[in-house]
Amino acid sequence: MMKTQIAIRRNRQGAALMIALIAAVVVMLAATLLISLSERMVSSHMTRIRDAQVGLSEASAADGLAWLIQHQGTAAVSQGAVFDLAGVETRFTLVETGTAGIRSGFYQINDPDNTVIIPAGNRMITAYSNGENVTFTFYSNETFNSTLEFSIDTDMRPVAGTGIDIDGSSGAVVVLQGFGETRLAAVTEEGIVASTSAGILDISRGSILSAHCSVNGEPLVIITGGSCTGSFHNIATGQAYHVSSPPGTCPMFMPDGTVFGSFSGAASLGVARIVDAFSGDFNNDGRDDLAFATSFSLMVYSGATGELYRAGPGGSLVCWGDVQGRNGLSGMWLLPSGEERWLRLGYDGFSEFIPEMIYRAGWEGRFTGYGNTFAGFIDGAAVAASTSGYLQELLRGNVFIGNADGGPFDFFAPGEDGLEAVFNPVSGDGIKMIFETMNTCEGEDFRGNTHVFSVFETGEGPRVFHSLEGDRS
Amino acid sequence: MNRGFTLAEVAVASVIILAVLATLGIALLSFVRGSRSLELQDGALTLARVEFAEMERAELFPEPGITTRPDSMWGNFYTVETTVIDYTENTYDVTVAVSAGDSVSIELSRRFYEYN
Repeated sequence: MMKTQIAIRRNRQGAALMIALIAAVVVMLAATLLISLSERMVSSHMTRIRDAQVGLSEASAADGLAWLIQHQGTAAVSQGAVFDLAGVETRFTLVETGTAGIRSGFYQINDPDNTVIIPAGNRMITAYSNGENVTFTFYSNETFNSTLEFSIDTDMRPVAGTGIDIDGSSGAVVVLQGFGETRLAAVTEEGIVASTSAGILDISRGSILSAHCSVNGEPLVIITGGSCTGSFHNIATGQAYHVSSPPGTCPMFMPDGTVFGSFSGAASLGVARIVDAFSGDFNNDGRDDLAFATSFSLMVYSGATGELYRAGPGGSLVCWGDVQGRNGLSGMWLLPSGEERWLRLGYDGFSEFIPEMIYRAGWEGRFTGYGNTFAGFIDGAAVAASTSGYLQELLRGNVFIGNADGGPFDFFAPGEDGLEAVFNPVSGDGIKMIFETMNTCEGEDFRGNTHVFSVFETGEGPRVFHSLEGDRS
Repeated sequence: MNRGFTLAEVAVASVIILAVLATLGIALLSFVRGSRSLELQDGALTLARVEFAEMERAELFPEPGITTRPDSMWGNFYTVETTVIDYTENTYDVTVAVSAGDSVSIELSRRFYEYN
């Protein structure tokens, strides 16, 4: 009996310690789990910080590679390149080269038919009214996404616009109309930098707007209805003047900011409506000139001498354009007899010439060219053609010409939900270079993205565009 | 009379339980503090990334120098300091440091190139 009691006491003593120990183990396990969870959270957070820096360093390196290609050529990076930033080394390895094709893009615009679309030199700007306010949207020429958007409360509607360079930034002069009133607004990324009332202005599809900044930085605009008379407006001060130019031309700004036209002269009488006006050094004298096309004539104003050269051999002007390195500025007239006549601008005016085959491809309206590539319109479509006979249709529909990426002219065609764009068709096909990347951070290697660089040769050097081909990180 | 635990048993068991509970308490406290710090750091990291994303989206970079501004994320308050230096003639190094008090600070860097 005594032996049994002792055994029971010993068992109970063991049980108490056992309970305490089991409780302790359970609690310690919970604590360990908690601590390990904490450590995992901290470690995962550190990984996120490192990944963020690796991503930024790789993006910086890709920009650096694009810069190298632009300034030192494709040969400079054919062996790859290495960049270092914030403790991350990014190595590029060239894995493939090929043809990039003509660069194209798509701007997403909700209601393109009711939006004023302004290719503003280095970027695209749009103005849209919903009846209560007007929204101005700026788009990137790299990604085609909107980079900035702002609205003003007004029931006036945007009806026209043109690009303007203000303090080195691409902006626009937008014409707003409503209730018999016209308002001119100069917009940049800073917002509306100047605005003035312009009374009653007749703005139509054929209106020609040209804008430039004064030496004081005041935005100026010349608006014509396509005739040889127009109005000059200082949007900052509100001053407005009548301006006129010789028949067959229209008043507009020269690229250097001087005004082609007269403020004081009697109004010219010209019935010919200008269908196209553009600038360039057409007579190769190192100075910009202006060219004006009507249905019957092609006129050139020499920026160096102030002389006007006119070509109008009879019949209707079918096509015209400037092709540097070939025939310069030229045009083709269809005479009443059905005969085609080609004239080109020389040092002392227009003279007849026999065009090469590429000139006879069937161009309509303005064409342009660079090297062996021509671009323009044939059978209602925007096309690119080469002297080898290759012809590529680029866009069809309501195609118009402008410049939204800082290079030679671009084609644009509004669609249902946006604007299709083909950039610098005269630059022809580009070169595509594909690089794989490896990032090294704190001794560890991390595979990066595959980077695609499209390189287009232009008269002013290569232009480089960068994109990613799938994320392999 | 023979049932129950002795004083020594209870004392030993209590000491073990107390020690373990203290450990758990410390772990819990550390977890709560760590979570709070992580929440702050998460906010700071998000703010720094948003700052760079905005610069890239708008294609606008701050002028060389240091700019500081307050910001908030998920109810927490931060100081965002952006430092821009001319690394070379054509490149800018931008560092964004986001801090919340003295304990939390996130720093990210990006290099931008001028193409013209």
